[in-house]
Amino acid sequence: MWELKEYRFAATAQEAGALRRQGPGKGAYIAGGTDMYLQPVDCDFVVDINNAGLSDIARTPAGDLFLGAATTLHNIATNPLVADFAEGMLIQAASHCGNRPVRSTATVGGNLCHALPSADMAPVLLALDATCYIADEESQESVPLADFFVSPRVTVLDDRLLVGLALPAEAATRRCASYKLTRSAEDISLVQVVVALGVENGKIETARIALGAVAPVPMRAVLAEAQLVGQSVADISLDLVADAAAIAAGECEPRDDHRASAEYRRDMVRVLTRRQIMKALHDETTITKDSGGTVA
Amino acid sequence: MSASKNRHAVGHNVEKVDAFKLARGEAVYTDDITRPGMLTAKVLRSPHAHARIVKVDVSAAMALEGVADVIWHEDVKAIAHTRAGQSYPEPSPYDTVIMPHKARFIGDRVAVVAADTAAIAEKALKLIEVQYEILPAICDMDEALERTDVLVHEEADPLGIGGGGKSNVAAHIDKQVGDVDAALKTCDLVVERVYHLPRVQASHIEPHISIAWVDEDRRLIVRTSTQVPFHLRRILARILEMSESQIRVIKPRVGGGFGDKQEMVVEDLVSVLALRTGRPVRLEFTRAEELIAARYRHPQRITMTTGVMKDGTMVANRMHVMADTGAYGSHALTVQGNTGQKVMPMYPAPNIHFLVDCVYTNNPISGAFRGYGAPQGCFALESHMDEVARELGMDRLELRLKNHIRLGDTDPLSAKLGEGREGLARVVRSTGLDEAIVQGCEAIGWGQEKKPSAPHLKRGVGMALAMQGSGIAGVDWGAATVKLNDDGSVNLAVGATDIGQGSDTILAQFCAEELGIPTEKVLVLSSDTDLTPFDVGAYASSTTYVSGGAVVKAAIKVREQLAEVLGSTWECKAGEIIFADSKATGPGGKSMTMAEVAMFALYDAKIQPMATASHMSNESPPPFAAQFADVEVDPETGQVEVLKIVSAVDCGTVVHPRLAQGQVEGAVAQALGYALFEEVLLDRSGKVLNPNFLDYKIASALDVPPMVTILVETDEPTGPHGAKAAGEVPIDGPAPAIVNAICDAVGVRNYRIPATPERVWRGIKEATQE
Repeated sequence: MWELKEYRFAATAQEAGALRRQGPGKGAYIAGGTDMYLQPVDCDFVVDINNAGLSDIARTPAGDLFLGAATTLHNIATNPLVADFAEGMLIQAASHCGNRPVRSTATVGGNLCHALPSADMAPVLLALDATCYIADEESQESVPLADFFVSPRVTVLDDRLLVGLALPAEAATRRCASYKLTRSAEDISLVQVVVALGVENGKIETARIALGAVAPVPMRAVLAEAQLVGQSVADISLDLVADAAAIAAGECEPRDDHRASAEYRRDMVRVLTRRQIMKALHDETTITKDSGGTVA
Repeated sequence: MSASKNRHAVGHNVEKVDAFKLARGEAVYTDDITRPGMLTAKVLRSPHAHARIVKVDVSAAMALEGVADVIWHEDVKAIAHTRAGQSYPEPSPYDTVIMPHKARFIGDRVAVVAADTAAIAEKALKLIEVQYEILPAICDMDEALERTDVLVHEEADPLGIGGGGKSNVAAHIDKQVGDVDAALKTCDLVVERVYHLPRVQASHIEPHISIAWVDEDRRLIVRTSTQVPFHLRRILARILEMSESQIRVIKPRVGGGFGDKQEMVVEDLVSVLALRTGRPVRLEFTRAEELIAARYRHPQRITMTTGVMKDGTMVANRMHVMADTGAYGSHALTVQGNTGQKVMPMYPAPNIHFLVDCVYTNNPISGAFRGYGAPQGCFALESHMDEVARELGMDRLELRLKNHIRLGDTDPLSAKLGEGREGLARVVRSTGLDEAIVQGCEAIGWGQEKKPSAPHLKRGVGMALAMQGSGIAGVDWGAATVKLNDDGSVNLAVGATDIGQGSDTILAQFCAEELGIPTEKVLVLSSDTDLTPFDVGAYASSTTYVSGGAVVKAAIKVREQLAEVLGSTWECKAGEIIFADSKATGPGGKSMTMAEVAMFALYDAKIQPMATASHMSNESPPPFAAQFADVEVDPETGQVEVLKIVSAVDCGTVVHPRLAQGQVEGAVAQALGYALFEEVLLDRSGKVLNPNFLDYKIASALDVPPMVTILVETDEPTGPHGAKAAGEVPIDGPAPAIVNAICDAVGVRNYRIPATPERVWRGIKEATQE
């Protein structure tokens, strides 16, 4: 049972920081609370940031996409601004997280701050080069999401607050594909693979392969990505894609647990990376069925 | 055949009698009440799989404000009993006491706190200091069978344990018809395979919950979510050293039981604490407790050895079941007995051998779960039939058609196997199995080429046949009381327990049918040991068949009483009066509405039309099911998508088509979890690794495929209005049908379920490497 001495509400990000620092005892931020309720955080009080103005979704004039940290996964899954971005990849990731009641409460920031290896939103945000905006009362800092995760359940935040995420306009036009492999329809992922390819003049200019649940923190398979950069979309060979997928499988660091073995997870990285690359290249003939995860 | 043809209630989709109050969210469940001064109880559980509880220091916990009582084994008299809710004398061993001197699994009871709030109770648990003497633990069933130096139950007090306290054997069965070893030598082909069944939990929505208090007459009142109120009262009276007259058990609406509530899981604790404190006490399991300290479907390893001739004739069949009952032997003998008894008669070969070794281990407890051993046996046998067919080079449907049980056949095992006593021979007097196979094949498109939806996927179909029983022959019985009211309505009081399956509605339909009144004129009370007559409870698929028989008898008695009263005033024979359309009609156009009849009986004749009747059957007619699965498999990832499940079920007369369909669909969803997702995982020390729904995956609405349910009606001569059971048989077939379909798709068999993506992937990988 989770026993709190006090539940505080913050009206702004600054106030949230102040309320948390005020004491007495140890404080923690809370948004949706879905993960915190499952695994109660050791704290005396919480500071609720749901009404701290951190729930907006916006596109800047330059085309960057901004997601407030307290935006619910349901809002992401249903927002037209998000649908236009990177072939709707964020929608796909958000709508495969938990179930509808969970998505109505859980937030994108909470998903990242909880920092599980299987965080559903992490791979897609990694693949789209998200930047984290972190604040406390005195300072603001931006950190690439790739540097945000330290180890399971640990981020660079310390006592600071994640206020939002920005995705660069350049990522909006990437060709993408993702897949979340689960045991049943409502499940955390055994393996998640997101591929995002920036294509210019028929050539892959940028490649992102992001993996979830196969390393201590969500990760990018940078060596596999390098294989793809410079390749012609029209002439890319199946062998090269298969090689890149095998490299990704070599890069990940899965472990055995009661959900799946490391051996299985590694092989699934290979299979799913190969398929997602082909799918991102819009080669529907090779793979057709597995774009949507287990939930249609 | 249409059962509804000449019947106005039976066979119709009448309104479920409790539908409105449930839909409105009325306070109908155990925990929907509170009582002044009510305490909440919480259990301190053993962190050790096997340890003597030497000393428990409760002083700090008792000193905490708001704590009313803390108990451990020094506070409660040790009276050996079984918590299994079965007819007396129970066939389960008396190996349990309320508060054990020795913890036998990680999660066993060590102490119990009753406090003003749940939070205080939990805080108090942390203040209890326990001195354990840690003992070597046995968590592997083969080790448990071999070893006699470490005994899960070595005490002198437990009675009736299979091994007599000298081994870890909880139950042993060895029954043979013919001579299997000799017959196998004469067969053209002998196929032997080993199948592995997981530990799974019923996962009813409403957890175990009980509230007990002492009333103004100093009687113990237990309001509880149970399937067995009368067994519970009897067991409580024994272990509390009270008489049954001092105890009243009330069963309100129940949010699912599935066998897990055919067991005294929390009632003894709230009773002890209420009696000690004089205050009402409530105890509700958390989901983690359900997955650690309630009951599981027994994990089993089943070896099938089958001998056939070239033409497919089955000559000999052997099933050897190795089962883990865990720390206590609830249902150990009978569940394992059913694994063979309910399953092997499907193919009544002249030589049948059924062997069981069920052992105690220091793992959490197995017990009753819908199907009661048959899902395990059916998985093994029906997987095995496909294996035999493959080795024979014979069509798997043809092999089944050649050998399955038919009308008039005698079930070869039933006479040999009773519930811990000699059984009764069983003859099949009604069967719709052939028709179910025909209709099921058509619905699934058996034999038609099915293309996968994408080139990288494989598609397959599978089938399984299943049979179960309708109550326990010669053991299960129930009673019903029918009483007429002024307005022509009747009270129907039954000990039978509606636990969500809809039996109150079924029983009301039987009553309405006999009295010629609409079902909504029947007010059902179920069940309360003070107010309703006896019934063994909701288990063994007994309620429609057995309790229904009692309702029919009681209603007929009341009808006869009314006919007699009317006959004397109408000056006609009682037999000339017809009760239909809420009217009594006699010769010469004499007629009275049921309300007029009631007023006449109560105020003119001055009698209370009322009757109680009991019913027992020496038969347990099998309902049958033919179930089919259509699946798609991704060979590279091992993922299985079930595209369709077809269940064609013969449950005799269909009393309520929609409720019967609900029974089938619910069973299919539960069996889908058994086939693909569900497994309670233990580490080597016997600790549950996944006591939550994040990692213990049951099928959710998103996982359930389109389900086609076909009800093949038959007329069972021994059943009320021709009815048999429907509650358990449809949970048996889906798992083997799905696994057979996976094998059809990719050519690799899963001998172990659940067939998780990784298991399917590994099977394919190993087959490719060979």
